[in-house]
Parts: sequence; structure tokens; C-alpha cells
Amino acid sequence: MRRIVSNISTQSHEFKENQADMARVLNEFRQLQQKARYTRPERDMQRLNKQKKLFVRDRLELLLDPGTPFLEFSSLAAHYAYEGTVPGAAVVTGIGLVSGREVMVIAGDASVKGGAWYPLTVKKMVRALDIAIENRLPVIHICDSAGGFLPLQSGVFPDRFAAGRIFRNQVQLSKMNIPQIAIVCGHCTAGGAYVPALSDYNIIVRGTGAIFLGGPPLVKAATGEVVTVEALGGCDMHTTTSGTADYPADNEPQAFAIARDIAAQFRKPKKQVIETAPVEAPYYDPEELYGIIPMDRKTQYDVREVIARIVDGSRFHEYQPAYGKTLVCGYAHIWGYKVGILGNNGVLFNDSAKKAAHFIQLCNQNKTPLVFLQNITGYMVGRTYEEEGITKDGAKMLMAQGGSVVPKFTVIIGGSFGAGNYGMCGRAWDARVLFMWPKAEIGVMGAEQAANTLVDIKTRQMQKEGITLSEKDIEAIRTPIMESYERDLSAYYSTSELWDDGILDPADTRNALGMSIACSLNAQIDDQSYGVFRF
Amino acid sequence: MQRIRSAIRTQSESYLANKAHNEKVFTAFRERQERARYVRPERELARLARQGKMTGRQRVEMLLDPGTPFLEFSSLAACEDYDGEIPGANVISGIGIVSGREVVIHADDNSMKGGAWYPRSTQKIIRALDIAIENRLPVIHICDSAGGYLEDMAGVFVKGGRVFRNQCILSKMNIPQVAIVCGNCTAGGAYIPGLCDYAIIVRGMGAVFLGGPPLVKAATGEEVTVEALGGADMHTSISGTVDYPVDSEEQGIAMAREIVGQFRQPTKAYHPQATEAPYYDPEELFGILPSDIKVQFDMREVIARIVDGSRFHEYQPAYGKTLVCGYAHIWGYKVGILGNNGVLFNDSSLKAAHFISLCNQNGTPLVFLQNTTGYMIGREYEEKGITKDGAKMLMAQAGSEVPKFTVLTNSSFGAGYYGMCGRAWDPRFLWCWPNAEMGVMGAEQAARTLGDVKLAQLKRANPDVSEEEVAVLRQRVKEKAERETSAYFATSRMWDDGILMPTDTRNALAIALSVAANAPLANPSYGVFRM
Repeated sequence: MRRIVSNISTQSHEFKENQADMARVLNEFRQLQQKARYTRPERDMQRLNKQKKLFVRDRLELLLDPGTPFLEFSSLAAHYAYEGTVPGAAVVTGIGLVSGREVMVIAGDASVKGGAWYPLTVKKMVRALDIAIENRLPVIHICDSAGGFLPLQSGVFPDRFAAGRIFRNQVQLSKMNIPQIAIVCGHCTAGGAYVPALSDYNIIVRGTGAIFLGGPPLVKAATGEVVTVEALGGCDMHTTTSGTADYPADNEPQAFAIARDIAAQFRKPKKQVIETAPVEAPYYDPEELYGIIPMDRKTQYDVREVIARIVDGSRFHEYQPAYGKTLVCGYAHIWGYKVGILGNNGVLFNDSAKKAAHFIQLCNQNKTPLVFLQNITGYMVGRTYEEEGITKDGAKMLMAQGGSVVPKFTVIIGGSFGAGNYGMCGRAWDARVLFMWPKAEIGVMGAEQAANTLVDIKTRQMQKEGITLSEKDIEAIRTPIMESYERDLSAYYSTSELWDDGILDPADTRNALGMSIACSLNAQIDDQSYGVFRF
Repeated sequence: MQRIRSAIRTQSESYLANKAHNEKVFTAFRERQERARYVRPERELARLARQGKMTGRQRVEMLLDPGTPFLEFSSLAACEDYDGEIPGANVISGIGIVSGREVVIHADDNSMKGGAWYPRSTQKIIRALDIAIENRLPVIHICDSAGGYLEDMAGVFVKGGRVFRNQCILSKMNIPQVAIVCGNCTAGGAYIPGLCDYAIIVRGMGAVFLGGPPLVKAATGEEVTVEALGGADMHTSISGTVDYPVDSEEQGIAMAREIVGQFRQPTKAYHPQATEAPYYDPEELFGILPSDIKVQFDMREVIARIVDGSRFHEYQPAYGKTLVCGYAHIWGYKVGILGNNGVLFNDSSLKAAHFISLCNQNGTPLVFLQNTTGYMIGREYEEKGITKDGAKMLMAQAGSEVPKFTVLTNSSFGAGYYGMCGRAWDPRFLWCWPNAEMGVMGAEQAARTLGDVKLAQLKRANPDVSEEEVAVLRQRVKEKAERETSAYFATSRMWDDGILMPTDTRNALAIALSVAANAPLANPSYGVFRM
């Protein structure tokens, strides 16, 4: 496979400018991430200390195989929600290695509001379990939660993808023969009690862990019975009397050691075999991406320069290099795994849409996972293209992409606008994981265009009522719209709402994809089949 | 099968008091539904008349086989959102019969804000398509929407992609779709006809384009008419994006009926036996449902007014008596019913897990009649393993292969809502009765707990809070809790598939049972039961 020849000059003024801008953006991102992971009010840390509980990050250290990577999801979930007071949505999720097995870890973060479940906490947990189901990953739950956050119970409790889905997903995992372990380090109250109960194996820490459908205050209110936490649902009661919990542990380190020992009993999965090649580092330095990604999101750049900094040896077999050139398609390897890559190099035209539909079918036929690199303003509009059938050609692309049986991975590297978000495997299209780069944006249209359209509508409404707006009035309408749109388009908003699985430093993309692909192969790939293509 | 012997006396004081109370509740529901379906501002109707368009509802009526039922979903979707201004979330969806085939219909309701898609609109369409996928039902889309509501773009766009994803999955599953384009299908919306097996477009009225004329002008400067850019003749004669040109909506609907007439009839997974009306009058439910949500009633009295001949084979009649389990028929379809008669104890949970396993084994669909305050709490029950017994019930219920149907008849609180197949547990359909309430806990308890918390906060900030301020705070918390546990709040957010009159439950379940039989039944299989 031939090496991509990069046209980047790392000495150019433009490169340096981009690099400086990206350094600023990444610095901000890293600070936010660091804060969300580690910065907590003193009193919360003291409380944990008093309770002899470990901080969630220390628990992860005890659980994971030393020196192995942890692919954390949505570290900035809830960034814009709840006035920013619930970092990471009070739960840590990610894929790591435990006793040599790839597992999904879901760890309640008791340093944030006692680990209470907010609506986005539940969304993040459900998403982690969905990832476990799709990729057949064992799950390790670290339970330590104050329970559902009552003032927002209507966002936590009833809906299809609310808390009930956590338990429903646990049942599905069990039905699929995918093991789960729960480590009960704190209280599991009400619905939360089902997390250990529906796990195959559970461990409970003496003195801090407890499991009950109703805690002592509720019991007292309901029946007048006065009972201690320990007697009602503590470690010894559940491991000796009720049989609801399996292993008693004297302290957290012991509990994690038991969990690691249990995970070591899991059968190793039979991986789907796909084409592989010996691993080779990218020839071009991934950090050069910082100088390649333009300062202004609207500046077009060659996605091959990105591919060259993600794939093995920067080698890429380009398919249909002369046809539908606004979409780059081709084969490459990432950490040795063969992939089919689709990357945008401009608006999607009829030919680029057909090229996508064709290439996706090829990858399905030869069982090659798909990687989508999104930088897309959408499909081409206008009479010529409609007459040529841009809608039906776009529909072909959707039909092939939506019907794919191979795992799909999406990275939003630039803009993700309009139907382009859909065609290039946006969130609704079941990518196994979807990541964003810090400067990426998602929306129906750009902020400026949206603001102009809305101002247009308002101006016309006012005109109907006989009011003419001055330039100043119009600006006064436009500015707040622009601001709120810019926020809504940003990667931080997307990641806050869990429209993605997290924001990635571009230089980490290769590793994140490598781990994601490795995990995806726990699930066998079906034979291909599609719906009806509109020819 | 023996007839349930009703203990209801229709002349008793409590019956008459309940009836008077419930008639008020049910009348209020009917009025609200009627308004959401038919009442529109004059100017909107005048606009449609000017455009020579029918309303979405008129189109649906014309499409359906005459004299056949239409099981509408979520008629009060969005009733507590957007200041109540977007009735039914601008979408009409439901199951009806077209040319003798059961189909799902998605019709944009063009009679409010041009049929613009709000976040709840796409949610409602996606749910209708999920229903089509789960029950293998062909879909007919009647398209007439101004497009995504731009001011709430963030709520529509990313999730909205699921409309088109679901269309692709339907096609992959060999489930046909027809689109009738009666208005503009712009941007993403263009993919609705684009992804259908058959698409019809009304000349002079329908248009399909990824970008409409204003967007094209803004993007490239090109000036082009709607007709030239994406009208009926262009798409049916030049681009091939749409299949059938028609001269009027009536002709479009007739064409759709003819197309559906070509569909293969489905093979059903199970069949009904001869049917029998309930022996007891379903209208008596009005006097059975208590006026106070906390008053317990015998679920057998409800079952007697839903099932064929009021006949019920009760399973384990003497064990775990707070859960009634048994077999019955609804419009001839055999079902296994689970109905709450009190708090779920260890034995009632075990009974549920056992009965659900039986129904899976013998291929009997499950009906859950919820009236639950949750599972029993306290030391004795924890020691007996209430959590692991509850987990057995969840394991059996969620591992089920047979179709499940859930009706919230009164209260649905706490983990009981989960165990009895709440929304997250994939019942094929879930309905609320107008009086139903749902939440982590009852409104009264929630108001008390939250009120205490807020009061403590208030007192920390200001130790001399007046009685009056306390009363105001309590009242505010109570009103919020009541609103958020009501069936209207639930249906507005589509936590259900709509509010049902208790007397319509039998018919709704029968339609649901009939369509659920379109999907084949897999062999039973479960996860690990914690013994």
C-alpha cells in the first residue's frame, strides 16, 4: 500500500498560525477535562475521606491492569448542564483492561453530589451499557450513588432511555451471555439496588456498601420500623442471609482485587477475524494535525493529510481517486486492523454520494470496518443536482450506510452540517463510537446562516405588522441568536448532551480508533444485506 | 375458562361517587383530545383552503379503509410543551387498515405552523417507525412540513436523523414504505420520499429538494422556481426521485391505496380463536376506579371488563396474592395477564418470574396492568432477598421473547413501574389511563420530601421565614410534583403511546395483539437468574 505524499509545509506561516490556535484550543480543552476529572470542592473530598472511601479515579487505578490504556467516554458530559456543577455527569465510563480482558467500566463518582443520578448521568450509563451490548464487552459496575436526584426525577425515571434502561440493558447483557461484576462501595438504593442484583457477580465492602430497595428513612416513614443500614442491607446481611451479594470484602482495595480475580475467570472472547497487517506507526507525525486543521472552520483542507496522520505507515489505497472527488474513499490499516475510510473533501455531489454507496458495499462484502471522517457542509443543492437526482443518490448512500453490518466509527473533525451529518454516519446511525475534535461543530446549518434566516423571518413578521426595523434593531436580534447558536453548535455542547462519546485531542484519534476497533471485533459480523436502493 | 365473579355493586355509594369523579376526569380528557385533533386557528385553516390543501387528519381519513378502526398514537403529544401551541406535536400517527393491510401511518399535521417539525414531532415520527420495525408494519408517510423548527434546531437535528435511519432499517427488513408528497419535503425531509419504496407527488403542491429556492439562491445565486427545482414533473420524468405524479391529493391517496394493495400479506405468529364480548360492561370501570389514587381496588374487576366473556384462568390464586396472574383472551387472542393487587412482595415477584417464563414457553403475549407503589421494603424482606427476587422478575420480564403490552391504570411508582414493564422495557405499546400517575414516588410524598429539602435551604438563608412563605413554597412544590406525575405530562413527552379511555383498552389491546403477530416469535432464552 502506498504512502500518502503530504503537501504540508510545517514551516509555513499558515501552519504555524493554525498550530498556535490549536494549542490555545487544546489547552482550554485539557484544562476543562482535568478540572472535570479531578477538581472537587474540599468538603466533598473530606467527606469521602471521613467515610474511608476512595476517590473514583483511585478506584479505577486499583481495578485496571497497570500500564494499560483506558478509553474514557464523555469526560465532559453535562459540561453545560446543571450550571456546570455536575462534572462528567457524576459518573466515569470507559473501556479498559482488567485481568487481560477488555471490559466496560461504569463508576459512580461520589465526589460529585454524593454520586446522585442526574438525567445526564443516566444517559451516560445507558450509553456505556449500549456500547457494551454492541461490542459484547463484560461490564464492571462500581456502585456509589446517593440515588436519583429527586428534583429532576421526571428526567431520570420514566422515559424509554431513562434509568429503567440501565436495568433493562443489564438483563440484555446477561441474556447475551456477557458477564457483569458489581463492586458495591457505597449505597445502592431503590432502583440502584438492581445494579448489583442483576450482575453475575457482586462484591460488597463491609461498613460502606449497602443494598436495599428502601433505605432506613423510607422504611421508617413507611412502616415505623427503625433499622440500621448494616442490618437492613449491609455486607454481612447480604452475603450470609439474603444471598443478594456474593463476596464480602473488608475494604475497597480487597474488593477490587476480588473483582480482578473474578474477571480472570471470564472466557476470552472469540474475535471476529478481519484482515490485518503488521503494525507500523504513521510516517507523518500525528501532532502535525495541529498545524493542518485550519483556524477558520470554513477553510477547506485535504482530508488525506488527516488520514496520513492516523493510519499505519501513512499508507492509503485510494478507491476511485478520480471520481466524486469531494469524498475520499479507500483502505488503510489502524494498529494493524484493515479499515475502509470515508473522508469529506467538500460538498457531497451526486457522484460522491454514489461513490460512498459503492465503497460501503465493498467494505460490507469483504468485512472491513468503516471509519467516517466528517467535515461536511451537506449535499449539493440547486437545479442541476436535483435533476440529476441528488436526493435519490444521497438516499443510496444512506441505504448502504444505514444497512451496513460492519462496525462503523465516526470522528467529526470539522463541520457536521445538514444531511451530511446523517450520510456520514452521525449519532442516529449507530456508529459504535462517535468522537469529536475540539473545534468541530454540529448543526442543521452554520450559526451565521441560521441567524440570518431567523432574522429574516422576524423582519418579515414585523413588516407585516407595519414595523420597519433599523440596522441597530436587527443587530440586537441577531447577536443573541448568534451567540446561542454558536454555543449549541460547539463540540462542548454536543459532548455535554452526549451526542458523542467524547472530545478527542486529534493526536489521540489513532489510539482511540485502534481500541474501538479491537473491541468491536468481540461481536461477529453478519452477512451483508440491504434495503431497496433507489436507482 | 371460568368467568370472574364481580363483587361490584353498581348502586353502592362508593361506586356512584367514583363514577361521578371519573366522568369528570374522562370528560376533561376527551375534550382535550378533541381540541388537539380538530381545533385550529381560523387563519391556519384559511391558509390551507387557499392552498387547496386538506388537513392532515382529512388525508388520514381518506386513506383508511372505510369503517375500519384507527389506533392513534399520542394524540396529546406536546400538550404540555411549547405553551400547548403544537397540538399532537404536528404529527398524526397510528395504525390503520389500508387495502386490507395493517399499516403505520405518519402524517404531518399541516394545520399548525405549516407542519414544522419540533423536537417532539421527530420524536413522535421516530416512535411510530420504531413501532413499525418491532411489529413489521408497512408505513405510509403523508408529507407536508415546513421543515425543522429552526429556533429549536439543537433539539431536532441530531436525534432527528433516526427518522431516516429507521427508514433504512425498515427497507432492509423487507417492510415496504409509501410516501405521498402533499407539500414541501426540504433538506433532511427530502429523504422521506427518497428512502421509500414507492413515492407519489401531487402536481403543483408537492416538492422534494435538499435545498429549497431561497437556500439555493443564498448558496449559488441561482434563481429557480419550486416546480423546476423539485416539483412533480421534474422528479417523476427527469430525476426519477419520485415515482408517481398525480393531479390532486385525492388521486395521490387513491394511488397509495392501490400500491398498498400490491403488498404481500404477512404471515402471523399466532392467531385468534372465536371471540366473545366481556360479560361485564366495560363502562363499569368508571365506578370501579377509585377517586383517590391511594385506595386499592381488585384488578380482577378490571380484567373482567377487558377480556372475552370476562373469563380468566388464574394462576397460583393462593400464592403471592398482591400480583394477579393468569390466562385470558382479548378479541380471541390468548394473553397472559399480570395485574397488581398491592405492593410486590418476595412471593409475588417469584410468581411473576415463574408466570412470565411459562408464557414465553407457550408463546403467549403478556399484558401488564400496572397499579403499583413498588416493592416491599424493610428488614424482613431484605433478609429474604426482595432485591434478588425483584431481579428475577426483571430478568424474566426483560428477557421475554413474546410481545408485551402495558397499561398504566392508576399508580406507577418506583421500581414497580420497571418490574411491570415500564417504558424502558420495550413493551410493544404502553398506554396511560387519564387518571394514571407515574414517578419515582407519589406526588404527595415527593412534595413532602422535596418541600422539606427546600424549606431547610430557605431556613438556612433566612431563619425567620413566615408561615405564609412556607405555605407558598409547599404549594409550589406540590403543584410541580402533581403536574410532573400526571398522565398528561407523561403523554406530552411520549413516555407512553397515548392516553386511552379505560373503555377503549380492550379494542386497543386487540389491535396491538393483531399487529404484534407480524413479527416471528423467537425461542425463549434468558440471562442468569440470581437464585
